[in-house]
Order: sequence, then C-alpha cells, then structure tokens
Amino acid sequence: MQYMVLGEESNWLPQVRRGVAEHCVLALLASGEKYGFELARELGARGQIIASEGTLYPLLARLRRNGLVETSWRESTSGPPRRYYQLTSEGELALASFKKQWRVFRDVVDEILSEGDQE
Amino acid sequence: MTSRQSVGEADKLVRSYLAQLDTALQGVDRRSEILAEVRGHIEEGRAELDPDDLAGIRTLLDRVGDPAAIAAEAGAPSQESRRWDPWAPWLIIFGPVAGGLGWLAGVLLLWISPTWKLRDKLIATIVPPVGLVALFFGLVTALHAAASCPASASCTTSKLTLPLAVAIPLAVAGLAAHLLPPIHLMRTRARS
Repeated sequence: MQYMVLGEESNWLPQVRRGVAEHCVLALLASGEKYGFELARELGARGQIIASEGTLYPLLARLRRNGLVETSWRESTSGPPRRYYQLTSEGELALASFKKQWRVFRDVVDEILSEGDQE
Repeated sequence: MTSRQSVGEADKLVRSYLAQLDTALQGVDRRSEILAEVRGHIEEGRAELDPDDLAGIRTLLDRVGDPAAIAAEAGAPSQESRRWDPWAPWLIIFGPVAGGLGWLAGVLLLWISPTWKLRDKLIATIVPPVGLVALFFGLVTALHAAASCPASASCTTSKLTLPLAVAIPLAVAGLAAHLLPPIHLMRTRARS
C-alpha cells in the first residue's frame, strides 16, 4: 500500500516538526477543546506540520503524558463517544513561551536567509 | 462486486491496517491509547463515506499514513534493534544440543530485543530448560523400563526408574515445555 505524505519531505523537516508540531497542536486547542479527528483534518489540510494524520495521535498521547493537555469523553451524535482534548494551565504556559521564542527564532532565520540573498 | 462484498472488503482493509499498526506499536508507551484513537479516527472518516466506497477507504487509510511512521513518532524501537529476533527461538530450541553455548546466545538475543514482553522472556528462559531435563529423564527411564522388562506386562520397577505410564507422559510434557515457549516467541514475532 502506498501512503500519502502531506507536504514536501526534506531531511531537516521531520526534525523541525518534532518540536514545532506539538506547539501547533497546543495553539489549535487555545480556542477551545477539539477531538482527534477534527485536529488531524485541520492539520492535515494545511500540510507541513504533521507527516500524516495518524502521526497526530502519538503526539497527543505525549502532550497528555506531559500534562499539557487533558481529555474528556463526550457523546457524539454520529457514532461512538469522542475523546476531546483541552489545554491545561501548563499547556497554556508552554504555548505562550513557545510563541515568544518562535517569533524571535523565525526573525533571526529570516534575517540570515535574506542576507544570503543579497550577496 | 456487490455493495455487500465491498463493505466486507472495506472492513478487511481497516482490520488489516489496524493489525499492522498494533504490531508496529509494539513496546510503545500508551500503545492502546494511540491504537484506540487511530481506530476512532478511521471510524469518524468512514462515517463520512458511503459504506461500500472502497476507494474512499483507501484514501482515508493513506491519509492516516504508514503504520511505521506513526510508530516512529511514538518512539517505537527501530527495526535495527529487532534484526536478530529470528534466531532467538531457534537457539533456545536447538542451542542446548551444541553444548549450551547456543542456548546462552539465544537467551541473550531474547533479552536484548524489544519485541517480546517481560513475561514471555521469563517463560522462554526458564521453562524450556526444565522441559528438556524432564524430557531427558522421562526418555532415559522409559528406555530403562522397557529394557528391563521386555514384552512383559508385569514388570517391577527399580528405585531409579519410573513405570512407563509415568515416564512417557513425563517425556511428552518435557518436550512440550521445551518447544512451546520458543514457538510462542515465533508467533508473537510473526505478528510484528
């Protein structure tokens, strides 16, 4: 079976994803609780952040283990109950600190790349 | 293909995918949680499709992605750490014949591999040698009993021997105890 890969693969991308994807999930949860399928579709549609929809679930399990998200079961009108993910206060803190650091990091990378263009 | 056949085929695709994922996730923290979530994801995706939409199911599974990639994200041990797995059960079975060193190597490979659970490792380490001793003892006493009373129905047993009715079942049980744990290892590995 062939498996589709979302976004373009490069050597560095999986390594950058590792830390970034977790925080993107936290950011998507900042607006309110979501269930896995919803998150997977949202991230999958954008590409880049997760390699395939299924890889979201180990990531969510890790966030839960680290106390950054918590889950609760809710009945669904269309099928079995869903596990909803929600930020904990620790998760909110982690997201806030990531946002700050990421902007600085991104600006420096952009600056270096654009200097390279000028030469 | 009728639509009922297609539904059956679709069920089969999903089951086989989940089985692949289950084995890929061997030795992973929160394995059952991850598996349950992916199963839920596939159910949610199927609810959006016609039940007999085979192409739709394939696309759905493609988007969920390669089980190996999910396992890697979950921190599963690499294939590299399982490369010697095929040898362990065979060495545990036949290793004792080669002076015991082969057995020792088999047990070593068994314990360094992430493939098997602690319980399986313990059983496969302890039970086969005990089985082998029982097999040997059963065979020797059976032969002894058979030799000491040729073709006679009423033979008395000496202190060192057991009656055939005990010696033969003992040998059979010993053989089973020697073989079954390594066979179980092969079967659990085949599922990975």
